[in-house]
Amino acid sequence: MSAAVPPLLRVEGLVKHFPVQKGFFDKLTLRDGRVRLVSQTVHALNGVSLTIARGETLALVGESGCGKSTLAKTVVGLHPPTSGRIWYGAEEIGGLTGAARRPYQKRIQMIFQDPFSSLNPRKKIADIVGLPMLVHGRSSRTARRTRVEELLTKVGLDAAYAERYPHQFSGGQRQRIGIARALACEPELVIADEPISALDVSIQAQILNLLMDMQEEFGLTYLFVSHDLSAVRHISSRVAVMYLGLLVETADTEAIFAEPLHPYTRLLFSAIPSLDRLEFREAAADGEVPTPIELPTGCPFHPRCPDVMEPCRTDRPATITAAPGRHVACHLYASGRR
Amino acid sequence: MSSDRPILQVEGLRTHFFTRKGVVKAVDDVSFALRRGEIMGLVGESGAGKSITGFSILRLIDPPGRIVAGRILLDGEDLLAKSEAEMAAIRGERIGMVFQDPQTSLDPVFSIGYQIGEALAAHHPISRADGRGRAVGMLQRVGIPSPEERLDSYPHQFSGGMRQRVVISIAMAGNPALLIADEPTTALDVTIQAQVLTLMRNLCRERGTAMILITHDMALVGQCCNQIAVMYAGHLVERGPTEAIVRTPRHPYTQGLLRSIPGRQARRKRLAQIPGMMPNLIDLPEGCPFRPRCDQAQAACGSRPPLAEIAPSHFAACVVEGRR
Amino acid sequence: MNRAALAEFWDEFRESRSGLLGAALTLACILAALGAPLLSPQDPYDLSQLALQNSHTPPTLFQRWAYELFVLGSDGQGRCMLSAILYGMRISLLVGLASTLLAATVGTFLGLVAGYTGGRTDALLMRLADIQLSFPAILIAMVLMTVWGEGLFKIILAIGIVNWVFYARTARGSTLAEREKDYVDAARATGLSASRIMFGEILPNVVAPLIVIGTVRIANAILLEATLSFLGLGVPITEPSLGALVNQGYQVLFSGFWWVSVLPGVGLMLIVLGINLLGDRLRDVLNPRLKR
Repeated sequence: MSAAVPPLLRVEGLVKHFPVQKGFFDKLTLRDGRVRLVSQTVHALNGVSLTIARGETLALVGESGCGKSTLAKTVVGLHPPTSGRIWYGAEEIGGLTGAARRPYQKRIQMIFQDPFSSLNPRKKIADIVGLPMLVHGRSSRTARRTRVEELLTKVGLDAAYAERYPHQFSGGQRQRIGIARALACEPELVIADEPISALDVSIQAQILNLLMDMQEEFGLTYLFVSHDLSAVRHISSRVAVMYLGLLVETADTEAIFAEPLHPYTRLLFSAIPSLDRLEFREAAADGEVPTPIELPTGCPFHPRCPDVMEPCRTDRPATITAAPGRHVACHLYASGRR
Repeated sequence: MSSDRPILQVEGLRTHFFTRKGVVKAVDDVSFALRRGEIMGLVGESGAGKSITGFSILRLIDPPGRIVAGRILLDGEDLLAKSEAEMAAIRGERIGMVFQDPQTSLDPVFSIGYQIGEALAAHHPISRADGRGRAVGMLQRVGIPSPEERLDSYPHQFSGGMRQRVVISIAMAGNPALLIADEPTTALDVTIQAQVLTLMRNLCRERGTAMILITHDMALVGQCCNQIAVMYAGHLVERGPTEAIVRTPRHPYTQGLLRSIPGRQARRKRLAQIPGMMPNLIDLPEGCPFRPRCDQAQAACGSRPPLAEIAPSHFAACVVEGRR
Repeated sequence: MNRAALAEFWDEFRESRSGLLGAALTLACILAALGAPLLSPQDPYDLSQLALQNSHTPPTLFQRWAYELFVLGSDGQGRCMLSAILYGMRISLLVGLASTLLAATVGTFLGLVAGYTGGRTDALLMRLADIQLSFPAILIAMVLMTVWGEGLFKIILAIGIVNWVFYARTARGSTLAEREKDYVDAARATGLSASRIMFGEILPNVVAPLIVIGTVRIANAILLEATLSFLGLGVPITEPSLGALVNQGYQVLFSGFWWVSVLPGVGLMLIVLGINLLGDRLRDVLNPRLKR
């Protein structure tokens, strides 16, 4: 990695915790016959560090509760980080709010998961797609309208659809509208939070193709959050695996699918049904995905890990570079052991 | 004789919804058969009619929907000829059903033990103590740790995967001959999905229960089903043994579907996509419903293609493929 | 919204007979009230038109001889009841609509802010609402009107103050639900200010249940005003609402001159019934459509 060009996005030690009980009256509970004040925290992100280079597609994978959506939303600015730093290019943006944040909101845009709630049902498509333009300065109504029609055509929709309302469209079409909205202000980094999960299989292919086309045409950088490993394998250049708010493994796509290192990555990949092998594979491990409210001590995966060792229960593993471009956080690989 | 007879035979099933805007032929002439212990995958995208097919078998169709034609033979008896009281006795006892959303299929205000007991008592009178004992055994069988204590817990105290296990145990409580599972793992995480599927498959094997697995996930059915049926816009477009469907699909829709799944072609290249979308089911025009999106469409496709046997046990409703 | 949606709405609405009846009644009352100057045979406020010898004439149906034709009879001062009722309907509707509008505007605003902002603002506003709700509405209104004295504007204000809470709570609930949706996140991620999000993005989605509540509560407001006027705490006697008319006729009710009190009461019943039926039907028609 060239040191001269800073990565487009850099995150260091990002922590995000949410209180479960907000406010005094929520905290009062009756437990064991006495009134107590209970204060629980959702440990959504517990120290995540990663970089995204310009032009690449980094996929963030993991199951529910791993924190991938929280990471995406924190980077976009929807949640202020509890601690940790975020850089965009050479500038630090982690703590920025309001007007100071504005120039970056133009450059970092987001595509949402649910096509049914990501578009305001009471607004016309023209207003929905044009909203970022309104906020970021393109003030003339005709200029906005022209651009909206341009964008709609780019994403494969009829320009006349600008006059319609979201409920008149299917899930796939709405997702296209969401993509048009994200592209409205010519962003550099697009964060796609499970953009195809809610769509039918044949439409997923269409949207994935659209995303790839847009990336090529506009030189976009993607942070692709998903739990769909086949889509991830197809579209991404690098993969980062998360578990309970921590990055457990990061590697180039081909490398990680060829040889997953972390036990959780192996478990995850083995659980995905694939059409290449048609015999039934019994589930590899038992156990539940734990909640981020009560984090296990040491390595968060140790209660389910088939290769668990002593240090795993007490010490959180540091992230080590197992090979150029490959990072793993697992005691199995510490001190050069393999 | 009776062991040769398929446990379930659906013949010419038609379920239509008569709405203010027109007639929705949600299930339009669907036929298939299932032998004891067999697992069939009913695949299709949203709106294809697969869930409605499942509900039709259980006769859980409410107005404005109505089953307008067909026969559904459960071990030789036509379910469509039965009274509601007879169907109530069959549901839960001879046919079990597992729904998609474990959040809403269990009643949030009653404990798990109560709900299992209720399900058991619905079909055979059972004392409270016996009910609890059986419930503990059932929870154990589906892999829920410390079942005696968990019996008094409420659904919201379980995770999604655990809830689904409870639902499965209730569905299998009466040792049904047939289990209908409507997207049972869609709402679950991938690793939990694998566990739940393993459980369902093993339970069915143990008890010789046939299962209809309704899903949109082709890879899933490829893994655990003996035969696959593909639905599109209310029509059954292809049906056959798993290997045949996955390796040599004959209907253009099935072919397109399999081709568009990422992983079957070079990375980072454009996926082969099926253009367009599933048509609006209201007043669907005559002929093959896939015609507008099919790259092999011909004049003959204007009239509805019959489901023809193009290879042993492999059926496809396509004029073009049928001629090959 | 747009023509097709309206046509669909009307199609569904007219399926219910009671809804149509409600709509018809309400419309009739509104037209009657608006057309009062044209429809009334007599201006009930014009003292010069009154002649005492006409007092307590029964309605035409019950008259044995017609001296002057009073279709609905006359009151103690010879005032034509039909005219009085028509003008009274005006006042009742005015008070009902204006106070509802006031309560809805203030309540929705506060509810939106409480729901979106959360935290202390929310807690404060909701406790305020709770405190107010622990007093009976009629009691608060009575206290206010006693302190302020009678007057058209004052009663509108009083009823508005009493009723804001319902709108605030509903608006807050809807706002809480909408706030979790992705389109709000999208607006925030783009950099839209909080007030623009509240009033530009969320408000249009929150309005539908409020319309339903508002419609039915107009009837409620009319009744509240009627009650207050009946107690002498409402509109001034010079501009009587239907409730005030009922009050005026009450004293002679048992002397046999029943029409002076009962007929305005019937008028009141018709408008309230009409609005309630209309509002019920609106709720049924609008509700499933909210689930998109």
